[in-house]
Amino acid sequence: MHIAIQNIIRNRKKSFITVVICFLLTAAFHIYFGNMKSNKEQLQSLPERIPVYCQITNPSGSRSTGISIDRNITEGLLNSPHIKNAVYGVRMIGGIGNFSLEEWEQNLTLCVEAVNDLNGIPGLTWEDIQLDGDADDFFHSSEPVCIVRNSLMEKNNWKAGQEIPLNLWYYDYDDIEGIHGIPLEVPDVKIAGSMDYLSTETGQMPPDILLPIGLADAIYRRQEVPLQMSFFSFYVADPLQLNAFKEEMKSLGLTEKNGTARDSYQGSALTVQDMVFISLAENLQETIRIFKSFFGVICITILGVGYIASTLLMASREKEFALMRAQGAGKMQCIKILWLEQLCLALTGIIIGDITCLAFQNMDIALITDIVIAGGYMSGCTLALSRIGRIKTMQLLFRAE
Amino acid sequence: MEGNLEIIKVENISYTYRSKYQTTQAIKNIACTFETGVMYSIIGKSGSGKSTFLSLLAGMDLPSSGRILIENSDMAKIDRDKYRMHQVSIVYQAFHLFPLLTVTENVMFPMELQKKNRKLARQKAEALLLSVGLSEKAFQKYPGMLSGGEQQRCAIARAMASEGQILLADEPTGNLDTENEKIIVALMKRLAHEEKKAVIIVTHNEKVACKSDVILKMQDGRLLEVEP
Ligand SMILES: Nc1ncnc2c1ncn2[C@@H]1O[C@H](COP(=O)(O)OP(=O)(O)OP(=O)(O)O)[C@@H](O)[C@H]1O
Ligand SMILES: [Mg+2]
Repeated sequence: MHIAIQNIIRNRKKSFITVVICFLLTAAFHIYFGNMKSNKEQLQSLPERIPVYCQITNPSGSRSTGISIDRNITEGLLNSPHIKNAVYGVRMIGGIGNFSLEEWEQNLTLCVEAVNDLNGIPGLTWEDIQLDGDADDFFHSSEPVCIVRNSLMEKNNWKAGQEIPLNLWYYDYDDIEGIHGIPLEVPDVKIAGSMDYLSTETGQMPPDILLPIGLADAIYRRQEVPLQMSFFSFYVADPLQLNAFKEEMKSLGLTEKNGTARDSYQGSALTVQDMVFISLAENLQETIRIFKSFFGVICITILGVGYIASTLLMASREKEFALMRAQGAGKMQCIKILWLEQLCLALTGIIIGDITCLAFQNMDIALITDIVIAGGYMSGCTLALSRIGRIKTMQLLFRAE
Repeated sequence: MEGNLEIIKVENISYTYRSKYQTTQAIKNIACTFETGVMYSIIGKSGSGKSTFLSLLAGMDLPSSGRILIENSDMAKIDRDKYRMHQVSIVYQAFHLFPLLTVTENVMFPMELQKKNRKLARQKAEALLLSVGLSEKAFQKYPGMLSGGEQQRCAIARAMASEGQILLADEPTGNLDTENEKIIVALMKRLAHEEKKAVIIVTHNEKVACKSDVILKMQDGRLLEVEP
């Protein structure tokens, strides 16, 4: 062992070259693995950074609100493991108190919307709402409660906590008659809070009264009217399983939107905003694939460089080797000395490489790198040594000079 | 000679160098014996196979045919690493010092291989270096910084360090001036006669050859005659 260390010190230049070679290999490998890993991580985090948004639309894709979505589709979507953060609701018309069918025109002045989430109303934020009690509870309740627009409260001189008789009509969409309202029920609903917002960017009429979707559901059930949502949007739960998701959507009867389809209110198409996601994911996957396919090449390169470097560095040591043998040192002993020497140098280079790269890389990569490089370099070295070991001592020492 | 041990017995050996492009038969049917306490000189033209013969005696390789007996055991059957470590030492025509070791460390090397105490080894190495006529100034130098003659003397000191019974020397005086030549030849003679070693030297130098007890002549790989 001490002979090996002595050799390292005396052979400063060559030792240095070995260390540098191992250092460079380590650094290169770190970069390679680091890139591969960061690509993988990017792919893993892609769904969070670039969520895939979906909307139910009419077949031509021209409408995403005010449509009529079949109850089976809604239920299928809500039970699907592939979707998350669903936002949906139904739009109704309403008036106050009882009135006869003929009087609808004067009385049906209110826009009523039942939603499962505040996000269902574009432009409305929690800051616009004054509510007693927990705001989140409101949308999850099925109690007869509502949130009323401030202007409407003032006009009718209503107070929060008061109960009002809400005459609800639902929209029916029909290919022949188009949209028309049909009386639903006149429940007494308690004013749980008020809201105040000026306008929405969408140009869509903002609702005068907000109901929790659970209440609408209960009312529809009571009246045995199928609840058909007016809008439904959600995010894909795991965009990396986009294909499985799309299969399921197809099985629910949702089609892809088709610009040439006839305009209608039928909510039976699905718009998936996955272009960006798909192209990014494909890019990343391609990059990872390329990196992986280079793995073998890189390993072979390292082995090759290790072999060539150690052969070149060892060539000058042939004589030394033969001399040690001539003095009576065993073959294995000689190989061991040189091998140990190279191992020390390689490890030094690798460790320096690790330390340099540790700033922007973590340890588990370092370990793989070390093993591959140490393995590569040392097996090259071993090959070179066994070649030297086979040369006849005699031919080395007695070569005519 | 009386009291001398017949340490090497060479039985009809031949040796052929084989390389990719040619084969050379360097040794052809040599048979002879070497005894301890005797100094031998091998003379012969360049290329006659002297160095080859010497390296076979040193156990660097086995003869292509025939056998060499060391104290009556076949060289092919003994551990030749041990043989080289303990019984034989050799001075090469081209010195072959370790370039990375200092002069002293070169001489210490065989003793370290024999796992001798480092401090004693150093003392002995320095004594040997002085005995071959090297000055203390040279001890810590590397072989590359020495003259040919100095390197040669260092190589001789290294050969003497292992205390084997057989000392082989290929042109040990080739690079020396007459004065140092005398010192070395006297040293060799003392090793043979007093320390009872078998000393075998290859030389071109008539004067050196004449000082030895037995002269062997080689020609074209054959041992020609033995001059008393
Ligand atoms: N390593 C080798 N490979 C092939 N042939 C060799 C080798 N070494 C020596 N020879 C050949 O073997 C023959 C004997 O060589 P050897 O070195 O023994 O001669 P030598 O008597 O020592 O000569 P010199 O006086 O010049 O040292 C020569 O013909 C030489 O060319
Ligand atoms: Mg020779």
